[in-house]
Amino acid sequence: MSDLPRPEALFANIDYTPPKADWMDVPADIKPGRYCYAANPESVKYVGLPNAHKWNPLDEDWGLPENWQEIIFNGLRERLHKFRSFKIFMDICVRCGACADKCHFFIGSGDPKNMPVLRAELLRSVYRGEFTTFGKILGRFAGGRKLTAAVLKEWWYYFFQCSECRRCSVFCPYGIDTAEVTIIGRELLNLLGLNIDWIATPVANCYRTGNHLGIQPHAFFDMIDFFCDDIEDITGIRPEPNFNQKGADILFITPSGDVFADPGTYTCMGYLMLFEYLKREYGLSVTWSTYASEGGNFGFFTSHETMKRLNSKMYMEADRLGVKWILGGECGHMWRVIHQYMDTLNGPDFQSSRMETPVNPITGTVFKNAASTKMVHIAEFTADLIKHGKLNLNKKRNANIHLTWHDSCNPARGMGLLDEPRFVAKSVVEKFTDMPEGTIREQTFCCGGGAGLNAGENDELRMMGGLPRANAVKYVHEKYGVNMLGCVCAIDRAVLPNSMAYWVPEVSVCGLHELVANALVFPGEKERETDLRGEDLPGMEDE
Amino acid sequence: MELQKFLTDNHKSICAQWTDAIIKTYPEEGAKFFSGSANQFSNPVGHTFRSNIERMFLALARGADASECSTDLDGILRIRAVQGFAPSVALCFLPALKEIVYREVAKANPGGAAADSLHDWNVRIDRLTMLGFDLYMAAREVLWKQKANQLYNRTHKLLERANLLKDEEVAG
Repeated sequence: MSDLPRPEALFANIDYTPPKADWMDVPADIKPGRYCYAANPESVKYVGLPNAHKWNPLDEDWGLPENWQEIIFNGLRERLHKFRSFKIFMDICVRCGACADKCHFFIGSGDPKNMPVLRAELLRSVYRGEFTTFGKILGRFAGGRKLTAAVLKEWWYYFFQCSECRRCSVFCPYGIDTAEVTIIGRELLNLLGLNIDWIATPVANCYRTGNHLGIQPHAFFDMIDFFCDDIEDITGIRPEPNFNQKGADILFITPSGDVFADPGTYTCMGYLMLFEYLKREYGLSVTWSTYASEGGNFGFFTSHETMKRLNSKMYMEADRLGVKWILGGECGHMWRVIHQYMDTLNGPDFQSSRMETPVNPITGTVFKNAASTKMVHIAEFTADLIKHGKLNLNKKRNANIHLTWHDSCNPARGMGLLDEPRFVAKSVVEKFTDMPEGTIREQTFCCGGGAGLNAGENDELRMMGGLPRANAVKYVHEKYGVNMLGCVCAIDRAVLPNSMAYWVPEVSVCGLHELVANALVFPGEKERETDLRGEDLPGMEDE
Repeated sequence: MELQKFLTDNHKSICAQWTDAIIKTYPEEGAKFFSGSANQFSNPVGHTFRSNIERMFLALARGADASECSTDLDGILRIRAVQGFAPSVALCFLPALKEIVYREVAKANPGGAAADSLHDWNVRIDRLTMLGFDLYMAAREVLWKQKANQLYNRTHKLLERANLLKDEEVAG
């Protein structure tokens, strides 16, 4: 026995410890599972973005134009001039490290280039090395470096490992928004045709047909009609939604994920039921649009110009239909664009003069917070209705649910929507428990799939990034018996079910208005036996 | 020397070394972070490694079968399975425990026939390593099933919409 080699000796020729080296000397090792496939050149071409070409991230040659460095330098120079925030973010970071351990991708992976400070440094080092006198002379001593093909690949790899969730920015004492650095980084990469397909193709589809999947109006209508069939089966009430109705008071826009992907589809059924209830009880006039059939804005992950173009279609449609204001569904990025960028991109002048500061026609509440955007979040709208006692709700129908709340990054950090969803949720479920402090509200952890990172091929990245969120869910599941994770974002509803299935399989995922609709009691409805998912309601199991 | 008592008395030092065997597989800054904060929400990876390692070790030290470590080992391997490691690297900390304990025993009992007294212990660590393979593969299977289901659902929905499925297939 003692003559046998010991385990460590057997493994002696394998070194599991990564080499210690300065980050500038560690080239990006592009690993399957962490990156998304390259953009389809046809999609890039469709929206008129430059240098559309076929390429593969695993190839040595990315097919860059000969003058690619010049393109990047000109692009960087232009953006330093155009965006003062970006210029400041390039200059003022003192590398204090406050943001370093706040990124969910770093917390889950331990990859130092996922520390926000270092991710920004990937670009900042080139800015110093190529644009500042100090950096040009002292180079590496001043934290500067030259732009090489390896550096460009590193940019691509890590700027598409940031979900632009802005959790790091909450902790920066200087207020640096590292997501803004990622946004510019991606914009520069787009100058060379280096987008990912999970962004580029939805952008092209959205530009062409009005939604990410490229669904045409008749198919969009069919899907909604299909939901109305299901609602009629469950409740005996058939919603009769309006489409493209000129003269309606309100235009409703939600992410297309709600129309085409479970469990968002149940949230979509929830919207339909709420509007039908309000139409029957109070005469509310809402229309859907088969053209502005997408709230999500993947242009936001491409370039400011693309974001602007995709955003504009919602207001062009509002103008065409002559509505007074827009009601927005449970979306993430749509709200960030509207709340933080739109007034500068398209501006109030872009809106139809017929649009007004939104007023809830049922309660009379004036949404002054939306005076500029003319767009109200459905959680605010429903909270207002509940606050004024306008909905007949039966919480018992959700008695089998113990809910916790995932603050979706963009509505939470991007527009401060923290209490309205909780108010609505607590009005429709009996059991509600928040996750621990530091994991919710402004400090909420991203689902791991925001900013276009929800492709099938980068699932490992998403699992690593989703770990901090899932870890907090696991805690409330084990301690309090939580079995449902609620959220107001279509990407959350697409990403979190797989994340839960991996980390906390006993917890499901739902949107807010699925719960509202389950609790909503229509006058004259038949006795419901199932919820919107077709599962037995509490107390109906044996019948 | 009574091994069980030795292992229990020295569990802090051994667990620290065993945790380090996992942590050292990460880049320096990542390793530093995982070794740092004990907060289970701001550092879930480091917290899981430390607390699960300690519980597993104490169970093994009191003579429990490797199967009793299943939940804690699963917690660690579920993390390792999505961090881009080769399977051998993801699991390398398991056989490492043999060497860590061997060194500690040899240090406390110089000149003694440490390896012989560790025979039973080593068998248990081998069983733990085998269990680790099962759990690691189960975690990877979940990921692959998700991919497979995604493709299946996409096709199934298209066929359903085109009325190309029989009733029982629609229900399925």
